[in-house]
Amino acid sequence: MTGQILEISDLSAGYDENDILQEISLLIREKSFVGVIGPNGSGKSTFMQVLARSLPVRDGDIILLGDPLQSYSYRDFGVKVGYVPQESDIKFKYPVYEVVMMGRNPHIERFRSPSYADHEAVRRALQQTGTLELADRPITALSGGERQRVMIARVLAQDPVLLLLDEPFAHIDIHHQYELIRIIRETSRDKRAVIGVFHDINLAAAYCDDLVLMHDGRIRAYGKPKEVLTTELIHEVFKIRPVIDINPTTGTPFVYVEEEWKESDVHKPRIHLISGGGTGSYLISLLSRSGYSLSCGVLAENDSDCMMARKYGIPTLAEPPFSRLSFEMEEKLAELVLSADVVIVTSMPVGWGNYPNIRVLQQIDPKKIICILPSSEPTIPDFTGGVATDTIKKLLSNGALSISSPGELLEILQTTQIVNDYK
Amino acid sequence: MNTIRNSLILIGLSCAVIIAILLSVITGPVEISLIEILTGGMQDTTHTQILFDIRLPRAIAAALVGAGLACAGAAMQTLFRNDLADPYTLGTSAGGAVGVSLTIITGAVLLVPVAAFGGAIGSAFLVYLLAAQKRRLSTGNLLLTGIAVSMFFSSVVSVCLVFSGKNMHQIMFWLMGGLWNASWADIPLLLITLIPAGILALFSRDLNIMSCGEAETRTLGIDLEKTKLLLLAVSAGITGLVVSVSGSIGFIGLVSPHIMRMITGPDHRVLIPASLGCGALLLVCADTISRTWLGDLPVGIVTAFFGAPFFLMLIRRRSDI
Repeated sequence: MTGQILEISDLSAGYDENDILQEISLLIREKSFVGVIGPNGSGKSTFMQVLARSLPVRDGDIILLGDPLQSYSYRDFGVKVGYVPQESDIKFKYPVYEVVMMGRNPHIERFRSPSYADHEAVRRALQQTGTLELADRPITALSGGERQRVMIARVLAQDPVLLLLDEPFAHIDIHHQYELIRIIRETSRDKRAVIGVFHDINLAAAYCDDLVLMHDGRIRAYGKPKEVLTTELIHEVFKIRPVIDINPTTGTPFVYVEEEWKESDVHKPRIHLISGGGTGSYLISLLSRSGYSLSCGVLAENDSDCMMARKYGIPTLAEPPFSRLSFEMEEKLAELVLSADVVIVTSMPVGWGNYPNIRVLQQIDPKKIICILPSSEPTIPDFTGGVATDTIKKLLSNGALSISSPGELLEILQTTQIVNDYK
Repeated sequence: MNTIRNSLILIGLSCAVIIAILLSVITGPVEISLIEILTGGMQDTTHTQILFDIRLPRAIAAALVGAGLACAGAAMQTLFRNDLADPYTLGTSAGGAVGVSLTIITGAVLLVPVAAFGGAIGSAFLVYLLAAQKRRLSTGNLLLTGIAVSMFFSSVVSVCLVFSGKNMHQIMFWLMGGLWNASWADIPLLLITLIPAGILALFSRDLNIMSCGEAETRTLGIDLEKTKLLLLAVSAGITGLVVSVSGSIGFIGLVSPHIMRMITGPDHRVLIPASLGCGALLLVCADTISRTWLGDLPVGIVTAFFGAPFFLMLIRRRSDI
C-alpha cells in the first residue's frame, strides 16, 4: 500500500438534491500525473471541488495518505493538498508576491510571520513560472494568462503532496503552457501526485501518465492515454468522429477531428478500395470524409494505406506482409467486392502476393470498376511478369473506367447509381 | 519599502487621532483657551467640568465608536466580498432600533442601551439562522437575508414611530445616531470593542485569503465556515456594543475601509488598523463640527452630509478598481 496518495471509493456528490458525481472510484499513486478529461458538464470541476473540500461528500470515501479527507484539520489539509480553481477573480490590488505568499499560509502559524524558508519558496515558485518580474505588480493589473501563472506559482509555493488543477491553462499562451506543464509533471515525480482537468486532450495525452475520462458524472475510462483515447470511447463521450493519430514528437495518441466529416450515408454507393504502398491513403481520407461507406483490402499489415484505414475505423482486410493471401481471405475479399457498388483500383505495385486482389475483379461486372492510373502511363507497376497488366487491360476493354485524378472520381461517384442492395 | 510606508501611515493616523481629540476638547460653544489649559490656571470649575467631564469623554467615545464601526465595516466588506457591506449589513442597525423603539414606547428608558445591544446582536443571530443551510453559509444568502430582515425591522420601527406620540423624537434621534449622552461611564464598554477588533487584526491573513475568493480558502489552510462565523460574530459584537452607546451612526463603517484601501491597499494587516484610525479620526471631527457649529445635530447626519460628497470625489479620482 505504499506510495498511495488518494483512494476514492464509491463517491457521490452534488450541489442540490441531484448527485452530479456518481460511483466515482479512483486510486492515485505517488509520482503520477493524472489528467481528467470529458465534455462540459461531465462533472470534472465538481470532482475537483470535492477533492478540494469545497463541496461536501454525499456518499463514499476519500482517503488521503491513509486518513479520511474529513479527518484532516484544514491547516494540515492545506499542507497536503493545493488547488488552483478554474476561475480566480481577485478584485483587490494585492501585489503578486503577496498572492503567492498566501500559498504558504498553511505552513505559517497564526502568530508568526513568514520565515526565510517561506520567502524562498515564494521566490522559487515565481522564478519557475516566469512571474518573478511581476512580483511587485498588483494582481489586478495582469492579463488573464499572467494571473493564471501566478495562481500556479501559488500552488507551487504551497508545496503540497497532491496538486489539484482545474483547467490551469485556459488563458495561457502555448509557450508558457508547455513550460508549465513540464514543471507540473516534474513536480509530480517527487513523491507527489497531480490531478489536472484539461480541455486539450492532446496536451493531456502527451504529458499525463494516466487519463480519467468522465462522462455524465461517472468515470467512463481510466488508464494510460493509449487505452482511454480510442475511437469508440471518444465518439461515445464527445459525440465526434475522431481520428486517433500518433503524436510524432511524444509517441502518444493524438486526437483530431476531420473538418468535413459526414456520417456515412446509406444512399451513397458503397465502395471497395484495392490499393497498397500508400497509393490509397489520400482516397481513404477523402472518401470517408465525404461520407462514403468504404472497405479496403487486402492490404499488408504494415502498409501505410492499412494504417490510414485503421485510423478512420474502416473495415479492412489485412494480412501479414509478404505472405500469400489465404484461401479464407480471398473468400472474404470476394464477398466485399461483390457487395460493393463501386470497386476502385489504384496504380499499386502488384506482385504474386497481392495479385489475388486483381484476379478477384474478373468475378464482377467490369462496369463497377474504376481504375485510377497515372495519365502519363496508364499502367500499374507490375511484378507478375505481365499477368496483372493483362488482367487490367482485359477489364478496361470490357467496360471498366480509367481515370487519372481523385477529383474525377468524386464527379463519377456522384452520378453512380446504387445497384446492389446488400444489407 | 511598503512596510515602511505602511508603518508611517499608521503612525501618522495615530498622531492625527490624538491631535483631533485634543483639538476637539478645546473646541466648542463655550470658549476655553489653550493658554488657560496649559497654564493650569483654570479657576473656573465649570470650565474644568466642561473640559474633563463633557468634552474629553465625548471625544474619546467618538474615537472608539468610529474605530469600532470602521474595522467592523472592513471585515464585513471582506467577508461578504461586497463593496456595499457595512457594519449594519447583518441587520444590526434595524434590530437595535427595534429594541430601542420598544423600550422607549414602554417607558423603560434606562434600558435603552441594553435593548439596543440585544436587538443588534439578536438580529445578527436571526439573519444567520435564516441564511444558514445545511451547515454551509453562503455569503450571498446572508447578504440578502440581512437586507430582508433589516427591511422587516425597519417597518416595525416605523409602526413604533407612528404610535410613539411625544416620544417620537427620542426614537428619531437614536436612529440618526449621536454622542450627546457619552460620558466616562461609556468608555470602559467601548474599550471592550478593542478586544474583538484585535481578533479581526489577528485574522488578517485569513481575511486576505478569503478576500481573494472562497474556492481555494480551504486548501490554503482555513476552516472557512468556522472562520466566517467567528469573524461575523466578532464584527456583530463590535457593532452591537457601539450601537448601544451611540445609536446607529451611518457612513463611517462604509467609507473608512474604502478610503484606507485606496491609500494602503487591500492587505488586512494594514487595512484593519488603518481603518480603525480613519474611523476614529472621521467621527471625532464630525462630532466636533456637529456640536460646535451645527447646534449639536445628530452626528449621523453630519457624517453622511460631508462624507458622501467626499467619498464620491474619491471614487471619481481612482482610475482603477
